[in-house]
Amino acid sequence: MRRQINLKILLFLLLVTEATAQAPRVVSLVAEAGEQHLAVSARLAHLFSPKIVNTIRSGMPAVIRLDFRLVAEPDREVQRLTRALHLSYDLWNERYHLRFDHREQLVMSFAELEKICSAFEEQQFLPLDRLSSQPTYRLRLQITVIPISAKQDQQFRDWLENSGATEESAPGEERASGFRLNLSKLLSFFLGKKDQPFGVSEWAMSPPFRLGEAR
Amino acid sequence: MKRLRTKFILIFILLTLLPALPVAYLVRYFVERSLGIALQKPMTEGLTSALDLLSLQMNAERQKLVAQLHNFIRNLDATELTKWNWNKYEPITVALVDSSGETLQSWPKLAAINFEKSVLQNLLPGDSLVNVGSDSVTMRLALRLPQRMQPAAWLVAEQNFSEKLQHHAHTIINAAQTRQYLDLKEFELRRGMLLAFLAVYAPMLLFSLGMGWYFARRITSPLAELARGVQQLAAGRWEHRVTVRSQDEIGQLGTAFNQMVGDLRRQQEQVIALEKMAAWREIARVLAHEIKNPLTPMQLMVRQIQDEYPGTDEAYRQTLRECCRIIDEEIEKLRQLVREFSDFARMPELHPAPGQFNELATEVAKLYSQRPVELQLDPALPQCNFDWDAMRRVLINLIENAMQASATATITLRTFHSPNEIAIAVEDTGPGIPSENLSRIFEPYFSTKKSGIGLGLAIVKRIVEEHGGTISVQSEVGRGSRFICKFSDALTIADLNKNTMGGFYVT
Repeated sequence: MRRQINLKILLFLLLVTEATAQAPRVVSLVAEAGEQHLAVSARLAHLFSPKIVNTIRSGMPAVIRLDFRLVAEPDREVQRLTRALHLSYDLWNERYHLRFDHREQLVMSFAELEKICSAFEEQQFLPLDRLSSQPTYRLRLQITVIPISAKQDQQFRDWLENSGATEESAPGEERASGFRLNLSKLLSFFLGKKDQPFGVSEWAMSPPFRLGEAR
Repeated sequence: MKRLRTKFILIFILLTLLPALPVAYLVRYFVERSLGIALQKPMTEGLTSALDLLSLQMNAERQKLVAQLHNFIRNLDATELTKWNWNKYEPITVALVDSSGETLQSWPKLAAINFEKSVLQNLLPGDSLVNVGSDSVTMRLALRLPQRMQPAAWLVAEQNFSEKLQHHAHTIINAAQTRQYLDLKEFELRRGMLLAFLAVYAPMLLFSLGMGWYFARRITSPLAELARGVQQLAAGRWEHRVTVRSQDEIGQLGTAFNQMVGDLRRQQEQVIALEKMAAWREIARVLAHEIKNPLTPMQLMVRQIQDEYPGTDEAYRQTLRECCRIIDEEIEKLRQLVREFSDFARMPELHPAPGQFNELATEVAKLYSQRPVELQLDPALPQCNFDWDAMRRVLINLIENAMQASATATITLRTFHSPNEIAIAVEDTGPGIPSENLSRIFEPYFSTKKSGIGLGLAIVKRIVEEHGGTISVQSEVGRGSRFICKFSDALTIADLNKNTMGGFYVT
């Protein structure tokens, strides 16, 4: 019994280790106060696991969501900002499409796409006039990779439900009593929430900075 | 009992769970298999190859279009643009555009190609090929024209993929996307299937639990009631009966229990009555013995006193004679009392013989010529075995009781029978018996009469019971009484002999 428990713990640790190894990671995060705006640069890693690469290459759009928290020392959240990178592969023109904040970009290779996505830079991240110059700030970042959008997910759920209703004349579909049990709908109900992230990074924190120093 | 119920419920749970375990194993196995088949490496490689093939096929179609475009450009070199025979390339829509992406001329005329102008880069050398917004139905290509073609800078062409290719592309891409979806949602699918299984199974388990509890309760409740009944019985509460709610085996058990308690109570009452009677008889025997022995010497002594008086005082002699007479009478009364005690204590052995109650009743009625006794006799009364003298005494006792109760009451002797019983009754229209005395009138030494010692009805009861019968009384104050002696016709001579007491049976 004890050995079984130990094996289970080991298996769990292996799974956790594997999951951690494949999770996206913020390698570095730097926030600098410029003339009028806060500039942010971040280096990201492990954004695309093989499963996500294959998903994007099959033509399904993916989203990389960047959640920022601006925190005044010691731990007071001042502002929340979210940025989203929308990625898709154009199967017919064999190129990758990248959309970020109404800016669009076409790249011809996945390596190029990965390079662009891994280096996030925004000079006008946040207007400084909204912030007080007194406290010391830190910026936090968490990355979430969402390979299947809510819309796509709904399409697949519909497909699951319809395939159950049309292709399977399984027992329980239609009863003489009028009781109808759609097992596919039941399965779809238990599939979990839509827009589910596939990989979420740990929260990363920038070095502290003060606005007054740069002004 | 609760433990028995718990056992039943546990058995029901086990009966529900045990078939579910292999089913759950099979479900899990098939889920793993089906997902495994969908996600296995050959399937993935097959889909990747299909996508590659699709890409190759599309490239082949693209190359065909490019070849036609080159051909078009060659022809464009040789002839005037306006004279170009575009019908030759009818499935293709082509347009000449300038470096800013504006259309200069198109074939067929006025045809508009919806292409992406942003991808046209004028720095590219001649013959460069650019994809300008193909989709699943149409391919759109732009070919960089040589400098001599100015102001035309690009030749843009649009052609639909073949329908077959469109269909294949749609199918392959759908399959690839579905596979990717399954791959990404593998864990959730497994969990979803497990939860769906539980969602279907849990109500069944709950239902089974409910049924288990219901049936366990249904089975154990009567048993619990029986157990309570036995406890009540042990505590001496003989009136307790269990409620019988069904006619099944458990219901039959309850009925049998109730019947058994009733029989036990009757037997217990009989035992008590017999014990009481035996005690009274013992007392009667001792009394009779102790009183009877000195009576004769006392009587002789009294006579001797009277006879041997030597005096001549006639008055004294007269007084002495009177006193001796009274003493003699009292001794006689004591002797009568002793005789009754003896009769009660030492009942003669019964000698049953075939006879007719009607004849007995007629004979007894004849004894009372001064005060006639009415007869209501059942002409179809069967013959039976009984001790003639003992039963004669029963009837005489009952009739005399009735006569003593009232000097004017009408007394009736009645016989009747039912399929299982024969009966003889003595009825009177006398003052009746108060209800508080009804339960005691058959007890020895209980009497409401000043002269009686209360053994008459006790002797009657004993004779009837020794015949295997029962005696009961119905009475209403002011209206009269009815004593009914009932005898079962089930007794046989063998039974009578075995019991060494009297009995009746129908002959």
